[in-house]
Amino acid sequence: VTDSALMVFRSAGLLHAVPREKVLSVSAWRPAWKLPRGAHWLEGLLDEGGELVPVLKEEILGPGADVPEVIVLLEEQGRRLAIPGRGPVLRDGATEARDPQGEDARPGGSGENSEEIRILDSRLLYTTLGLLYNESGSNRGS
Amino acid sequence: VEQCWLLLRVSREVEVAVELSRVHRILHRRSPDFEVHAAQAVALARYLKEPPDPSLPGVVVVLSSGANWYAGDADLGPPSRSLAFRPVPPDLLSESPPWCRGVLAGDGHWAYVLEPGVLEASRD
Repeated sequence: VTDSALMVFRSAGLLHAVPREKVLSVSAWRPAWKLPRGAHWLEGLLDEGGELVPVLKEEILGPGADVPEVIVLLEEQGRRLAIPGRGPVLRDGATEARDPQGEDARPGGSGENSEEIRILDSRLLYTTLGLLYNESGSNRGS
Repeated sequence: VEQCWLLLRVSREVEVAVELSRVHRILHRRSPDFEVHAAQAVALARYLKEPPDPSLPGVVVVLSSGANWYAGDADLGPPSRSLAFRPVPPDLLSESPPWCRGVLAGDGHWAYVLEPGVLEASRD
């Protein structure tokens, strides 16, 4: 595993990749506790070692629906966010072929049967969800 | 002095914790003045936008402030030493000011602790 390692997992019917250093842990799926009047993107809450962790609704990441198997726990600037997923694997990011914008990648090159992987920008995701303060001092997403 | 909690069942999935010291009376349906207080009560399920569970018996909680709230059921919580408080960051809620300040978790319970004043207002 190198610094360029990616955690690749399926969520919302799509393959996503997150830089390994943003992933705090991957653990077995368990249902989240519902938070009434919670944020629109919030599936629920989990107690992770004494801290409440928000769980993202899969539909935020894509149109599909998968039965989750794991919780991919991200951390950005000390805040945690759990993403429901399936089939997590570590891959060497250096072998992934990126498109010119660097937003998408195909595992192991561009073979016809390869499935597109979306590089998940965790900082952008957090900011959009209102979990990080942006430069204007607001933490409200658009 | 150990804090005692009253756990109010709001729906199948949601439970709310209220300090017992703030509770004046708990009225069950067979209580003679249940209907009088129920008519003035705000339903916790409606306030929290939760689907009410018709299988629950229904209780009215009369607070020391005089506010009346309707819940699906009410039970004394376990000893507070078996419950851990976890704060809920306000940015996880859809509206401001936040209605809840945290969760009491443990002993099979997961109960939301309301912000001070929410129950006393008795309006939705």
